Amino acid sequence: MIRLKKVVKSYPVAGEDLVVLQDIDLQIKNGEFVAIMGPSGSGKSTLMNIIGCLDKPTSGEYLLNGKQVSAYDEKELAGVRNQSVGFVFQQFQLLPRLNALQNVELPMIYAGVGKKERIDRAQEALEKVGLGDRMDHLPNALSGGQKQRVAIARAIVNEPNIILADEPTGALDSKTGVQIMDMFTLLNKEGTTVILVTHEAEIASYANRTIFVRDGKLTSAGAVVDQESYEKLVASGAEEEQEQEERSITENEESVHLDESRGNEMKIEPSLVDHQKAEEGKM
Amino acid sequence: MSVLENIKMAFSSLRAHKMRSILTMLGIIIGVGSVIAVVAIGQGGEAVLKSQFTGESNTISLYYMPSDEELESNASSIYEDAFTQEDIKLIETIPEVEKVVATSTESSPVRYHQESTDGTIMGINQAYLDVQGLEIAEGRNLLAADFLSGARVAIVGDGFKEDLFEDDDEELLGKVVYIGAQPVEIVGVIESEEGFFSFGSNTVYVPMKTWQSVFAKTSITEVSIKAEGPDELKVAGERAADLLNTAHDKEDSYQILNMEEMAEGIGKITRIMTIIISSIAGVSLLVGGIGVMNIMLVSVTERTREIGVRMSLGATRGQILFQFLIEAVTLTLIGGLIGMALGTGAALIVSHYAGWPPLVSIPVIIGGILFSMFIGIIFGLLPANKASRLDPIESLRYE
Repeated sequence: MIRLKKVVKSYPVAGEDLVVLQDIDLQIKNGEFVAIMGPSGSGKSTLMNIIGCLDKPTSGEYLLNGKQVSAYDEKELAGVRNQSVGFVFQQFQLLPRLNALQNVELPMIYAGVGKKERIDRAQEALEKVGLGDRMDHLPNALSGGQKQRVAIARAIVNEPNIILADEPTGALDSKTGVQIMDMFTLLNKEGTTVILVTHEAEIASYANRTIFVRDGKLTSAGAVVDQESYEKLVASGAEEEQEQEERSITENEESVHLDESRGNEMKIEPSLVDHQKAEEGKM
Repeated sequence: MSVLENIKMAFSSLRAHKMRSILTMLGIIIGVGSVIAVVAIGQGGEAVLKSQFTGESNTISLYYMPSDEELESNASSIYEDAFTQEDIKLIETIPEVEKVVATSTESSPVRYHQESTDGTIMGINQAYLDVQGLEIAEGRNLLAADFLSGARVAIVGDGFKEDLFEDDDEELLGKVVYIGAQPVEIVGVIESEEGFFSFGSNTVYVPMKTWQSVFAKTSITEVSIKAEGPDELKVAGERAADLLNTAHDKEDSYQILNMEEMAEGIGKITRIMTIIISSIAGVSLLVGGIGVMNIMLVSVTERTREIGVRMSLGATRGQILFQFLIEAVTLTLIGGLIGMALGTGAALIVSHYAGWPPLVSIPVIIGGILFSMFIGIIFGLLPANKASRLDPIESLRYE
């Protein structure tokens, strides 16, 4: 279970604090399939990075599976990324000199898994994504869809309970994109929480719930498919969530285009990241 | 993550840029190789010098060097004859003395018919044969009768063969050669040693009496004493010096030359030389280390995305630091091992041609390995630290 309370993320730019995320309150239950949508520079990637423990909130609380991430140091955060979170990126991010199997082995190397068990589990994961016959291929010898499947195998090999996918279909054609989305749907049915960052409504429609980020605020956390779980969330959520989460958005492409112009100035943010204490907790 | 895992990873990334890795290693190879070679050659040379100085015979030399006071009162004392026949007899009276070796040396042209060459003419007494000995290759040694009568006979080094005869087949034995205007007959030939330090191939050994009559001199240039053991030797040497100083009415003008001390001194000089030269070689190691640092920095920049990916998959900053440190150490260690092999090879080749024992010592080899690892750690630290401090989010977006 992911629980964000009054999470703020800001970067000092030219003596002033540039607020990227503002008072984010969010709850994602285990087994949910959530899409985070928003225009470029809206802060959705930063939100994903905080959820994935790649970044720390400037203030506020982040509880992951009941644990206060605020108490975690860099090493413990690395442990969270290794054990509890699986990342899938738009650009696949496979290491070019390692073959498919070795790429999938990587998270287990950092988990301290022995060589033999690593190979067994990596093979298993690759077979699961349908690449049992491509294990010794280097990323260069694989198509885009195959690369993304290797990346998914790598994300699930340590059996994390959350998968974070940042525009996973962005570099793929629509047919391959559908295959990849089906894979996420399957993983979600098996009980894994899937959080998807996208700006395509079509892709977001695979999720049970869509969260819309705009100007660093959650403008909505409405349910697209599963209205019931959304209402439960509102009921159990904190008071601060009220207004913003009232509006449900499904097809807000207009605002995406309207906010495109803000993109550039926001893109400089990551270079100024300063690592502050974040919190993690179980709910 | 285990060290072995890191080493495997390091090898795979070094293999990915073979040329670059080899060129980077070259600095370390040259540095380690030259240090090892210089130290090994230096130690071998030192050992040879020492053995040549000390020799096998247990002797101590006496020398005459007028003291400062002596020179002030009598400036010409420096030209005085060092030792006389009476001095030898005087020294022989000391109970601890077993033998007194006397030699006189002079340079002179040696002539055979029209051919002439420079030679070192050594007059020796019979004790010289007992203590030092001459290794006669052809003919006979000098006999007691030769010493007593001052016979015109000589033992010569085989170097004269080349210098005096046009025809290679001619034999030295039995020929009469002229030292200045004085004829001597060659009765024995010494085969000169091969090697870097071979001298004596142009030496003519004649009985002391003969030498004195040839050069019309009575002086003896060198005296050394042989005694039972090292302790007696020291006592005998000191007593001999005292006796001579008293007899000649001098103060500390006669002294003992301790060969072991001298060899020690020479050893010190060669050691200092070795240190100086290997320090210069060490500078190239330093330059090699900077090359490693440079390439590692390039590598970190090139692999920014890789670092980001690894961090997102759960690598801690410590693990990233360790990965790059291991890579740098692997680079310098391989370079160090190759350098060691080449340095040892070079030392063996030089030793072979110089004719002295190769001294590639284990401490030097272990030191070389450790030092190249140390270089890797020192110069790998900065790039590795840079890698570990990268921001994962930024790194993942790096193009």
